[in-house]
Amino acid sequence: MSRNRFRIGSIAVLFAVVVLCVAIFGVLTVSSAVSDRRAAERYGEHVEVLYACENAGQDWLSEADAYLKGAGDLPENTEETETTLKTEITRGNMQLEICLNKINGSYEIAKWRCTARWQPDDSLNLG
Amino acid sequence: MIDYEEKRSETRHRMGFMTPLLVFVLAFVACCGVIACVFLRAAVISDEAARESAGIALCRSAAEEFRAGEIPENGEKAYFTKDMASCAEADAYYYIETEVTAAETETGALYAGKITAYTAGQDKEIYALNVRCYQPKEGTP
Repeated sequence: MSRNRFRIGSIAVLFAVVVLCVAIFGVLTVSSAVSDRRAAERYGEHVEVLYACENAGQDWLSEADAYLKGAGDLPENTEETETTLKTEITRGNMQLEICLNKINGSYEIAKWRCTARWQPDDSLNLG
Repeated sequence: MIDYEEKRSETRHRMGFMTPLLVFVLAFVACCGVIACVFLRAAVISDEAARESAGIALCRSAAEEFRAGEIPENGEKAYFTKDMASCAEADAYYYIETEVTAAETETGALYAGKITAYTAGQDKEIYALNVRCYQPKEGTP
């Protein structure tokens, strides 16, 4: 009788350990999947902001093109020199810099650079 | 002569052995069920993440073509397999639809597009991206 009890107990312990291990793997799998989904969502948000910035750049380009061809006013937030038209567009944490070189009543795009603005974390006093 | 007392004792002994075994088996089955649900949930979440990533990649790819001046027809659809390879409608796992509007000006045209990615089976929207492209008129200085 005591032998039977011992056998059941050892199997029970073995199964309990197996169940525990599989449960831990399950939790890790869910955690990993949730991280993947969150990363995908964050990437989607980043792409949305990036294209919002690029789209604003295309709007500005259409206005600048019209201005340079004498069919419109100087676009807002534009810096004009004798040879260039420049602007900076900000959407979220993205910044787009555009520079057009004027060439005989036409223009060429000299710069079209979209960058993420970096803000240093100076909350820690390291001095 | 039947010894009822002995028989009853034997039955009690068997039941005393079987009860914890049955309880243990039931507990094990319940644990397995819960763990299977956890894995199933993980698979569903992982599948959602893969769909979202694929939707973003397809929309972005189409948006870059749009910005490069390859403007599709309004309402044009493109079909893709699960591996994001272009395919026929019947084999599609994803598809993207592009709504295009054009604003003509004196000097050019500003095209605006809304690119939306769907799963082909359920027609469920995964991701949408707005894109614009300015094309100066040819012949203007």
